[in-house]
Amino acid sequence: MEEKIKHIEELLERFFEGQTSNAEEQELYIFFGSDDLPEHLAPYKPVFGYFETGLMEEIQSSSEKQASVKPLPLRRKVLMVLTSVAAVVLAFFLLQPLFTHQNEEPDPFEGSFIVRNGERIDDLDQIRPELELKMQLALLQEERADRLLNWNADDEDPLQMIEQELKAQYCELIHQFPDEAVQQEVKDILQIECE
Amino acid sequence: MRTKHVVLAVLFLMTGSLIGELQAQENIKAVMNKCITMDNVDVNRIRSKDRTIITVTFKNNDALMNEISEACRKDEPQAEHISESKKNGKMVPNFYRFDKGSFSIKVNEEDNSVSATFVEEKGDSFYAPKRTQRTVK
Repeated sequence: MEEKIKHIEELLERFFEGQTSNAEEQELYIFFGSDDLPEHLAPYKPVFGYFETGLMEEIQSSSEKQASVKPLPLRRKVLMVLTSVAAVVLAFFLLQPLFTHQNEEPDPFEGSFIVRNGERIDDLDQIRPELELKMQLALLQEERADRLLNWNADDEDPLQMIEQELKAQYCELIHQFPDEAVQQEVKDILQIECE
Repeated sequence: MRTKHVVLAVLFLMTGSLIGELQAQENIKAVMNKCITMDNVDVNRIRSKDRTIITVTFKNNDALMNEISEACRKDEPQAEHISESKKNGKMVPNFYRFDKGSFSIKVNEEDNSVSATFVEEKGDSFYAPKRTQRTVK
């Protein structure tokens, strides 16, 4: 008996150092499974009771928990996938301006064009100077018409002076434009002669 | 029952006149936009942040000239100020001032050429019916 107890003590020491084999551990379980234990070894009984039953209970309860988790229904899975895709697409469109040419200001003449002799010209770089000239002239025309409409005999500036003043402004603008063909075109539109 | 019929009739008439008025506001603008796709008509369309300007020039196109004159006549009620001149016994528009823009037209009788300029300022309403002032040269 004393030899057996000494053997168990050696096994115990090796057990807590993790050096026992399965057969040796089984031997310890059997020894501590009995009720008749030496007094100095009795405190170790619960330890082997845990390792034999408690660990198994833990493993069993975790597998039960896994078993209790029900798989998602197909419709819900599809809905989650679609929601994820929609979120990604939305984020793409919201964030895209940050990665594109955000700092570029829109061309103020965007959408402008000229149709001449049946040919439409949309190249803003080519026609921009002409567009600016014609815009200024159109506004001068408006100013001319407004002044003439609002003129009355009590005003200081007679009609002729208003006409001459505005004609001078027209001609000054027209002559700033280098293309003589465009100059003539504008003069034809305004029906004026510039010196 | 009779009251209900009267109310419906009044509403119908009001709606009809309102729709007619709204449609009439767009006549000059519609003709100018139509010119963009027409043959033998030179067009400048200038868009800036404040306004859109359409200038058209053409020669020997009485049909188009009549169309423009008709459009001006329809839009007259919406004009703040009108300038006209008499040519060959007919009243011809020269300049129309609207609330948010203008329309001017010049006719060269020597070569039967016409140039028209339509200016539309950006805003809510191009036409705002006001008391029209008329000037005849």
